[in-house]
Amino acid sequence: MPYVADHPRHLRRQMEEPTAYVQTDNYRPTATQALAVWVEKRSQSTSLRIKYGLMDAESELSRLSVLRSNWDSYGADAPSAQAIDAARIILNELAATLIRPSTVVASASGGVSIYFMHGNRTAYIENYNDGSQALVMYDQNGSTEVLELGIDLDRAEVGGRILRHLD
Amino acid sequence: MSCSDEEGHPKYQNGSGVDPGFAEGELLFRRYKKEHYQGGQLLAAAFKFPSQSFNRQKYSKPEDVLHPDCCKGADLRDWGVLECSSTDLPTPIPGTDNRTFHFSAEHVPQECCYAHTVLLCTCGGVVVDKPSPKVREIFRVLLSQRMKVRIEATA
Repeated sequence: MPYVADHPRHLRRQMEEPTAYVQTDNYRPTATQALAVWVEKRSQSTSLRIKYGLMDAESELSRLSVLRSNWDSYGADAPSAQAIDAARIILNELAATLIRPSTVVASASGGVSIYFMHGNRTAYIENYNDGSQALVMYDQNGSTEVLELGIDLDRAEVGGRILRHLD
Repeated sequence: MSCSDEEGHPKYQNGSGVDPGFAEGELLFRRYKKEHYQGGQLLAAAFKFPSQSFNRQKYSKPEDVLHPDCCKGADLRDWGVLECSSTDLPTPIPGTDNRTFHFSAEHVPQECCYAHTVLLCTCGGVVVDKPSPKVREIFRVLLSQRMKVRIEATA
């Protein structure tokens, strides 16, 4: 019963302690309705969190879009419009798989880096100024994997790969 | 650009040539922005590719990398300073095409910042500006993991 642990207490008790007098056909619609309400509320909550994450990322992308060359004082190129657009698109795609970034920063290599961190594992999507992208995944021991999007990895698989790496 | 001549300024070139030798464990210093240090780690995004700039310890104090003479006149005194060993760089890194890429510190003095040093990427003795994304990103990740914060950034 995978959902029992998360059900409201009264519903859980009802499901765990049925008596001989309970007519299952009578309480089943109530349980189903309660479950539907719970799922809807949880979905709304998740949606709000994702939107908040995207709003943060969006404001960060806006800030990065007005950076000038040499923003890092070592001659880095400013993020190009192509890199900003690519970052925005992949962030929206990842939102569909409920993944929000830990941070979005300008890359000294030219472009935008989108970071995802969990424990001692990190993944980032490098959005280069020429519009190409790479997914980089590594841990604290330096074990690093680099996948070029569209070459080594289909875009649709990016979210799943990030989740598996960070899990 | 004319040098500041401020008291305590970084060592100027003053006609001195390149010093190619790096002693075992000689440190390299580099400035960083606060936003590139997050979650207890330095982000690879802090490094460009190729030719990352540093100041070498033999001719520089850590804080010299924040001095306007080493920042082309900019005032970056609220940035932080990183350090790593010039003889413990992440090298070599194998490419996917059976080529192997080597990274090394090269002293490239500037008039107002004699300690200026860059990291060069070579393959078969030839300087390579743009190896594959795999090599570039692996190097950036491994380099970021070897850097330590010497002076914490406040901006």
